[in-house]
Amino acid sequence: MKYLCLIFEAETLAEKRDEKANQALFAEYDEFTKEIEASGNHIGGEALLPTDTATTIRVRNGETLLTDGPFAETKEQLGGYYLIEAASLDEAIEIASRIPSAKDGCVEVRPVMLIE
Amino acid sequence: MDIAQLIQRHYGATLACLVNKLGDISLAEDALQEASIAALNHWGNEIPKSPQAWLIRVASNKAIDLLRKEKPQLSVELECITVEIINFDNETSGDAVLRLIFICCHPAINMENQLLMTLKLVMGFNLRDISRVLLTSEKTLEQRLTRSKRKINANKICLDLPSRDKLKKRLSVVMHALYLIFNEGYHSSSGNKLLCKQICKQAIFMVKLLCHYYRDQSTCLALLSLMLFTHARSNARCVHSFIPLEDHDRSLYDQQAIQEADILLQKSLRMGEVSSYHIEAAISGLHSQAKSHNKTDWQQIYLLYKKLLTYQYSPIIQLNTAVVDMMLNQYDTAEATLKLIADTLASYPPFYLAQAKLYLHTNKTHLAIQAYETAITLSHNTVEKTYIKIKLKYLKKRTF
Repeated sequence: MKYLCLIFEAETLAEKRDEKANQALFAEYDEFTKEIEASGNHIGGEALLPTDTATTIRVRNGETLLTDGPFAETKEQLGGYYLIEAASLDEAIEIASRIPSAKDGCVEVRPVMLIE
Repeated sequence: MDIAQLIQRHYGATLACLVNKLGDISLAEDALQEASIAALNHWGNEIPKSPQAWLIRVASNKAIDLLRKEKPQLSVELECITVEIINFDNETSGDAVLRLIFICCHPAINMENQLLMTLKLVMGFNLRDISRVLLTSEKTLEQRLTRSKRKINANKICLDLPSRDKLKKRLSVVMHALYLIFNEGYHSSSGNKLLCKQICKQAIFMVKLLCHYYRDQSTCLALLSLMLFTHARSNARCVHSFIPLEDHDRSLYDQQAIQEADILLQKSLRMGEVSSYHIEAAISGLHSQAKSHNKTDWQQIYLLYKKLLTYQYSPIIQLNTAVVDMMLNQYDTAEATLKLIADTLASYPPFYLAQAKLYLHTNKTHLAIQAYETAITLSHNTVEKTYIKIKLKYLKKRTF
């Protein structure tokens, strides 16, 4: 079986963390990733940029509607994901708008954090 | 023109060139900020032949200094950037401004922030002035600006102009933002006439730029026509204080602008497509071209408003049709329309002004007074408030 582990955290907490605390947390994540790599459980994973970089996409009557911000309603539940490579947000939006469920649900597009 | 004004005039184009080359709005802004300070210190003796070239050169050097501090390993690449930056002319500068407008008015940015970014980054207004016009605190604007810039950077929002097949949709977002900015300037409550005029002029300038690049887009021409027709009345609209349309001294209208607007509207109509901008331009044109308020072609305006309602339903357009009804002596129709929109526009001051007009016609003076008083309480616009207060005072004097 494959399982998707979704990570939730209050962004206000992340904003309050200083450089030292951040480094400690990254080290902890690093260690955890190595553990599950070694045990053969690791398939993939990424950190996301904060929700204020998100765009939410709905396609209604063939028209793509954009909302500046994260998915915020509670009517719909998370049903799947795609990790895509796109040259710009425009391309990402174009691809996301073709995801079939964008027609009656919505798709939140969020950039993945680049870790140097 | 003083040095600060000269810098502001070149701000948008200069920033646009820098963003284009540096690919980073915040870095470009910081660098231009430092270059502007340098200009204030140096231009006192002699203003450079090309202020924009000067600003770009100094700002790009500042950008390199800023980047070197952050990423020392990049210095070779950076030297190349400088050489590229100083090789610019008016056409590339126009391209850059156009790109920057499309970035600021990206559909993934909410509309409020599109306006804010365009006013700040493309038009070069400072946050203090923007806060006066948008009636929002500087601190809130600062936060919204930071957030929007972060979104643009994080998402690599395309620096390229939209491709031809996506152009229409993207262009309509840009035009709508410029339309709203113009209206903010025209109807502003800040009471700062000079600032408002500058905002309108900048919006017109940007739409002219759009028309230059997209000659085949009739909506662009129609929007420019609308702005020119409306702006032509601005000298009569505000002499010492706000003057309503019916009391305008029409000899103060800018006839040259009206002529230009008329030619644009005719041209845009010949292109076949009709948008809400075409209709609004036609309405504004009838007002600007009328010899007097009474001689205005109200019948035609009425039909145009009806047509406009088929493009976009809005209770405010409904309200306008009611006002026109009264001009055509159709008080019963006006009354029915006002009843229809009373709940929706319950907190919209102009609704009560229309109501007062209706009451005055039927000699219900005490109700008219009440309507004026409600309008004063609801209005946040000091210019509008003062105007209604004068009307009210006059009415009370006449009655008692």
